[in-house]
Amino acid sequence: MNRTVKENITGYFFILPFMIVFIIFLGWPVIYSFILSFKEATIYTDWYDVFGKMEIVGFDNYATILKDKEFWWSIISTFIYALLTIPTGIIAALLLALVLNNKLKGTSFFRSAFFLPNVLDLLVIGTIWTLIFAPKYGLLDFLMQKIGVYYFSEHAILNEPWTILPAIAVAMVLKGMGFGIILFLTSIQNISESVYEAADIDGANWFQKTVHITIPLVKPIILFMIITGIIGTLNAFTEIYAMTNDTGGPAISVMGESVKVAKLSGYHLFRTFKSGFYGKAAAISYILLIIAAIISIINAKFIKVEK
Amino acid sequence: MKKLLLYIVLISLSILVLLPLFWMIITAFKNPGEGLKFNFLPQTKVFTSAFLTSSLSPVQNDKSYLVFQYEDKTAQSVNVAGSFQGWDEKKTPLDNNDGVWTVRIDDIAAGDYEYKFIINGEWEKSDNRKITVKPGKNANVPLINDSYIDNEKLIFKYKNDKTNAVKLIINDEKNVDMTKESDGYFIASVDKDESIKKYKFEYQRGFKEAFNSLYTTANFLEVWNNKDFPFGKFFWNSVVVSTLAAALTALICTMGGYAFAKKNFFGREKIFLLLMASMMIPGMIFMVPQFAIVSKFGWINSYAGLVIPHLANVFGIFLIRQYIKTIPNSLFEAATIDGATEIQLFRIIIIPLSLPIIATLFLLTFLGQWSNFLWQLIVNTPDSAYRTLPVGLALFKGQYAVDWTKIMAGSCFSIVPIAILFLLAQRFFIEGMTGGAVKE
Repeated sequence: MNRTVKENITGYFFILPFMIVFIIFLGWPVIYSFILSFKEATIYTDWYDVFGKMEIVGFDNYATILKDKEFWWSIISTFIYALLTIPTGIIAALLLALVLNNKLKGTSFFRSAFFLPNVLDLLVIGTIWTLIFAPKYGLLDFLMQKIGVYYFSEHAILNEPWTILPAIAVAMVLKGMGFGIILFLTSIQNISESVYEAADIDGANWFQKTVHITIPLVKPIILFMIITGIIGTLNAFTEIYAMTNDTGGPAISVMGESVKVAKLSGYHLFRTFKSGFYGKAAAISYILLIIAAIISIINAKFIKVEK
Repeated sequence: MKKLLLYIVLISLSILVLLPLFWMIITAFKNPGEGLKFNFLPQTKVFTSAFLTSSLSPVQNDKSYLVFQYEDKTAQSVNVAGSFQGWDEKKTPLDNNDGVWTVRIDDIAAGDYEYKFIINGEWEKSDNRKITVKPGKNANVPLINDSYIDNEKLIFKYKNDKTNAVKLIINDEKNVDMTKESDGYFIASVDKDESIKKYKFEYQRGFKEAFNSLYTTANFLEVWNNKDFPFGKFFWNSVVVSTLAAALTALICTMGGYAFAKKNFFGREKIFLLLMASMMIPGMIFMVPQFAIVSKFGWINSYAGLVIPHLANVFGIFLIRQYIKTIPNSLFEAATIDGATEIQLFRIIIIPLSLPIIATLFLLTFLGQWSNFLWQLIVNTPDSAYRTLPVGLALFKGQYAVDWTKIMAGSCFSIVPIAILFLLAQRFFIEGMTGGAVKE
């Protein structure tokens, strides 16, 4: 047998199982969701075959979504949540990596301690934090009362429009911090000692060395964390579900319409889907897909410029 | 000095990160009524306290006061609302004294009132309670523990079979030893006195009893065998789903990774680029179409529906390709000369040599599926036999919103195995999760 033919056959044979699953569950959905977005389930739809008997509605789904203030708020709140989590996550991880880089004893213990929450179930972590934040009997209120702060007994911070997103962000940054710490620590340790020695000779202090040497050299990690952070925010669901008791948080009024503060785009999509508006949910998915694609393209440009 | 400071920062931060977990585990071991109290050491001194509600304090002409008393050892909060305050559920919280909740409302006008208690934010289901306030008299709720007023004496009675000595404490300052009667009651009598507002019964108990009244393993047993929310079953489902998904993902990604690393087939680079690009799409976006496909296949409420849609792990194929690329080609050539078939090459060379990365991918996928809440939630109907731990926990929490000790016990089944697994195979987890990023 011809060698290239053989290479082709074995190559395709080995990628076949993966590609079948990929095409059915990741490739086809991109097209299928486009088709679904022009249809809508009707009240006559059979529960066992919801997707079989949908009615074609043309651009109606897109029109309603783009006019829907709740949808636009979900995009804005996702953006706010991203601004709350991504920069704080990066700064916290970088600072801790710098601290851990001091050749202290027990570094490996701290590394593991910070990393551990990363592997634990998000739903459970979210649940524990709702309990911590609970007024009157939560850990936070208990500790704060000890130092004479009574704010948290009077305010359920997960039930107030201004505090809910920051509160969720705190919990999530603490959970995810360890991942960034390891990334930064590995890359800081890869920086050659001689660079710092040269800076020492020039009389640079710790702060100058950090700003002028360390940060520029860990820039790829920062970019990576921004990208994964954005994808993570668009995926944010479980933490919202757990920490708002599947409600989306307290309601506020935006341009005359009552919206739930913590209804991020992912959660909004879930709720639309859960209410049986499969076509509308597919249309939302498609709009989010376009947003994700635009963000990826911008990111790719940035990375190319960096290189 | 600087090092000390750094240690303080690190230690306090790691406490901040780990404390929730320890708190969760301890809470799971507590008796329901103790779950949310911040005492962790068993108390050998026991108090039962109450307010003397038939107090004789001066009353203004036509006004009186009301005392509300409610006994509930497991409640987290008790409020009262009624026609005397406009049915405001937040206005009148009761204070907790070891399970006896009381509040006193002064200057209340005479008349008929209706009221209800609100326990943990939930209104009582029963009809409104009624009370009449007469001018100059005190509408009151009876004393607890069979105590009563006898002419000019206050008689305190308290029944307890477990101890030989009970002390009565009046207004937190005056101690009176109580005498034991033959019927098991402890009795003390004092002169009627307007300054008496509050009383307590105190007795000593053994450490074991004190420990048992604080800690228990019952929460775990109860949720493990719960009829509607069998955590034992959820745990098993999670194990099956995660193991199957991890094993199959590891297999197809190793096969695929091998082909992308070593086989020069047509369109290899283009396909690989397409796969990589798909990594930039947030998974949430696939939810609706994936659900549609799964329901078309009839996979709702089945292991297949839970496992198969997420097998195509693009990150996994990337991870394995990078690793297999480092295996020298000469190895394959030598084996081919010896007459090894393609399948044999895969089995004899690829699998043994890339075992560390396969293990890493296995663990990461296991972990990912163990907490893949959203997908498991939508593929299972609420009464499905295939509910996994996160789904079961979410449904359980919806049903028993205030039963925190049991919620935490259920959570432990999800958290503790993974925490142990992490401690045992830390290196794989950390390198696997961060490795891809560093190499890029």
